Amino acid sequence: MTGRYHSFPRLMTLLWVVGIAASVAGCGRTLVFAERDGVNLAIRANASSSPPIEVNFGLNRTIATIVPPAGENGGKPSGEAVNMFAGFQVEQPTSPDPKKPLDVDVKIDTQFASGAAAQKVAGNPTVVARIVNVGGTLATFSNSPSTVQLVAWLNPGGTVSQNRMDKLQAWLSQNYPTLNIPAPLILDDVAGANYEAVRIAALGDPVLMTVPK
Amino acid sequence: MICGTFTVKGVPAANVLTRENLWRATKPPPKSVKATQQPDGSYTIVIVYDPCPDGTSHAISVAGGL
Repeated sequence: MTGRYHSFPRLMTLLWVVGIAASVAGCGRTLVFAERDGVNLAIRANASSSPPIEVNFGLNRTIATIVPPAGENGGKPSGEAVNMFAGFQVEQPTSPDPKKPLDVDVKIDTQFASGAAAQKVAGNPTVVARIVNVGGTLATFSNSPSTVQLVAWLNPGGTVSQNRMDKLQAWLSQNYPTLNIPAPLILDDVAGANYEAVRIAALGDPVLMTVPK
Repeated sequence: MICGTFTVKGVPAANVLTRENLWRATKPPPKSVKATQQPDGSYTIVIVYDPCPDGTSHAISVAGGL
């Protein structure tokens, strides 16, 4: 879901809607999910510095989500709607006009999975990470022996082998169809994803490892 | 279909070019691959593919809908 931050009245409307939702959610085993973030607006002017004016903008955003149980049985909640993963990111898509430093659009991307969807992906850390990390996938450089070996295999003679890269991508799609990631990502470490196991599996595949350069 | 943004942090200077070239060899190729040096001397590589369409990210499609 993508939205755009406009004004304080809109936030009040959101809180009003949340209040109404809370009143109808009942007293069962209801999931209450909330986010709260800060806002900062700092303007620093110094004629002797370059640039002479610096503007720092931050956003305060509060989200409350109330998810009622999927159903009731004998007056007690039943079902599995009480599952949720969520994340959001604020970004400035375009560079501000230096003459109008406060006239900027701020884009808010947010996504979440709840209920059956959240339960379905709960055992897949890669998918959960993609839901929570709206802005993309963050990896940390790995220099493990498996990474070094795989990088060397992909770079015979110090040059990237397009054939081996293509074959590694195809191997990933065949053996890890739910990952759907670019092959170079498995060379590094991503929180919640065990790419070390993927690297070892690739290195242990005799068919893949005999692909010519 | 590969889409979205990938960030690799903590890349030593000696490994930057190799890693950049590997990402450029993916198909379809990324729209941009850019390395930026960090205060600690390491590099952060940001790889940008075409944006994932709103509401159709991998996560949601894999989850089977909300």
